Amino acid sequence: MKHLLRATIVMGIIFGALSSFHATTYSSGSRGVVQEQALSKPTAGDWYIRITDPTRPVYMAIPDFETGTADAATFSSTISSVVWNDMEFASIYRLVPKRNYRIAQTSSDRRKIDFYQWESIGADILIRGVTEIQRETLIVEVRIYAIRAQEMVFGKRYEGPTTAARRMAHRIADDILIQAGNYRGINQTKVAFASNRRGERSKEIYVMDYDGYSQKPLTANRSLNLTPTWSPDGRALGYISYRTGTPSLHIAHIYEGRGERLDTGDGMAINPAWAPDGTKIAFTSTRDGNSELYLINADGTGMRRLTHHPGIDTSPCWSPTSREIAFTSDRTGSPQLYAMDTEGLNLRRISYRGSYNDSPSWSPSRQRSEIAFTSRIERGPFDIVVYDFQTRQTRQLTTGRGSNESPDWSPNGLHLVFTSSRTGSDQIFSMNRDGSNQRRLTRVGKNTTPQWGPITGQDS
Amino acid sequence: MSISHVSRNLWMALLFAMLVGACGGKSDRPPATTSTPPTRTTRATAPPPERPPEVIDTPPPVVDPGDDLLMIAEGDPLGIRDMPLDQINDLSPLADVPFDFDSVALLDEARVTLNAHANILARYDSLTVLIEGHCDERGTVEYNLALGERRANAVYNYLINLGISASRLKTISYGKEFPKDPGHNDQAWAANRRGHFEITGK
Repeated sequence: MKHLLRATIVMGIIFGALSSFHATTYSSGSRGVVQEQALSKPTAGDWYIRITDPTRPVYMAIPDFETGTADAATFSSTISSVVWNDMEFASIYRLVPKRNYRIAQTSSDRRKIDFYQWESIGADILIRGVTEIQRETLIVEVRIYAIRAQEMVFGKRYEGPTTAARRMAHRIADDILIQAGNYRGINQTKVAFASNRRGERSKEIYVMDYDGYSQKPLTANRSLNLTPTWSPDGRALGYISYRTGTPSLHIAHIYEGRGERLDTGDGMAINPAWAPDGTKIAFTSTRDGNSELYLINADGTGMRRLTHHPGIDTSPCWSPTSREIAFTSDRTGSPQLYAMDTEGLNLRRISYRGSYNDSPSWSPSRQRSEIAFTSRIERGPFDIVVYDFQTRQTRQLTTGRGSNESPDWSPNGLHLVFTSSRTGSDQIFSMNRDGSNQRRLTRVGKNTTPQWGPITGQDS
Repeated sequence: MSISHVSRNLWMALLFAMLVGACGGKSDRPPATTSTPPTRTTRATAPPPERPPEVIDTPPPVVDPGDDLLMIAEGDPLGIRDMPLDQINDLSPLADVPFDFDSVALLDEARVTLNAHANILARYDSLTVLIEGHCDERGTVEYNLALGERRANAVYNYLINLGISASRLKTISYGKEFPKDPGHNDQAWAANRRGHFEITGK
């Protein structure tokens, strides 16, 4: 049975701006950029091979986007900086420093590209964009050039309301990553987390862009709302709420402005994890008197128990195939990680190092089999580590500045979000999978248990 | 909590300790080191006159019913009978009980405190209580939610075994969400690893 809960989800605030912008791809030579027209455009696949020499990094130049009409200046500046920031975070390409661009931008005709000069400052790829406003519509044209091949390899025109400037820029960055190297970018993804910024005695679920912008509340019930988990289509979030007293499992359908509580029986329900195949949610319940793991279908039916142990069994996370679940148990006396299949069988222990291991997150990458979690080495601080199933090696990603916990992978498996107390209070940070490139995403209140949302491609 | 509340709490605790000590001095206290909570042992704390305690094996009374202390004890020793719930909770008549890091075992001092709580709950036999399990900030949000539940349960089971009716007690875990002391040191962590008691009805 589901309990419909009204007026608990602040809708439309986040996703009301769904009026998607329009993007068209076009081939070289269109839109009056005469200089490029003579160049033949190779197929993208050939081009990847030529540009992606694995023995050296690939350098990309992204000069500030040009302004086609004067009233587009602020948008042009916003879009330029968002694209730059996205490409910098993605860490796929080395960015040629902007101060070096002047040499290559001497031509009096700004549309003409001096490929030799760009090559002289080390650029392999050049991104050029032009921003203008026509009849209150923001229009951005973006072109990707292969410098040594001296050709345009991609061009696209984006149109949308001026309020969509940041989203348009993230879309552009994702397109650049796909077109220039076939990388799946995460620049349009969102991160959900719990925040007490509205008051010390409550926490609400918030959603923000992956880069920390546009932080918006999803719940507003002044209770304790914790541990969000995304549905794989990005249209719903599961989370725990204390609004009815006992912590229980709730679903927020974020595009429909509707919420429901799943009936998981007596006892508390905590730490939900939505399966990557979308069908089930794993969670911890005390309905049988002790913290055990259960599965429930996303529609609230078909509840069943997975673990049978008098110790604590909690913090489930799914393998990318949805066939295995990793979780935490204190059955040996301290919290350690285990994995089992979805029948509760084939139990094996994963973590042996450290006196305290919890909050596992299984990499969604099909190429790498690895799991990130919070680990306490002896009596030291709590840090994020990653265990690689193939090499059986554990690498440490954070090093002892405050407590670092609750990691969650980006959908392309290249980055993680996590909570850190390094600045004196719990805040959300992101980083690369090798621990580099750590960035702070939240500043107000205490913010915990980030969950990186899926790549949805909803704006195509 | 204001200073006056603290001192008032101390006074109440002292007064009650005196009462319990005077009245129950010769009764069998559970040894502090036992790992399982004792079953209810009878103490000669004065029962509400209209309702004798439910006692299975009644030892002989150790205090003369004419004792002055007993006369005081028969009334409202904590002075909370006529207070609204909020005010009672501000006074925290049931003090927090501590835990060790990553542990749900009841410490000796926690058992002593819980014995006193059981006496209060026996005397004020209409009070209903929410037992909150709390953790310090070390460790994860996720695991601490489960740990706090176990702490609340440990307290709950101990009180049940002392004869408090299960219908009067509920448990909840707040994990590490609501620290009592905002500090980041041993002293704060010790204060934050606690079973806390919220009076929910009287």
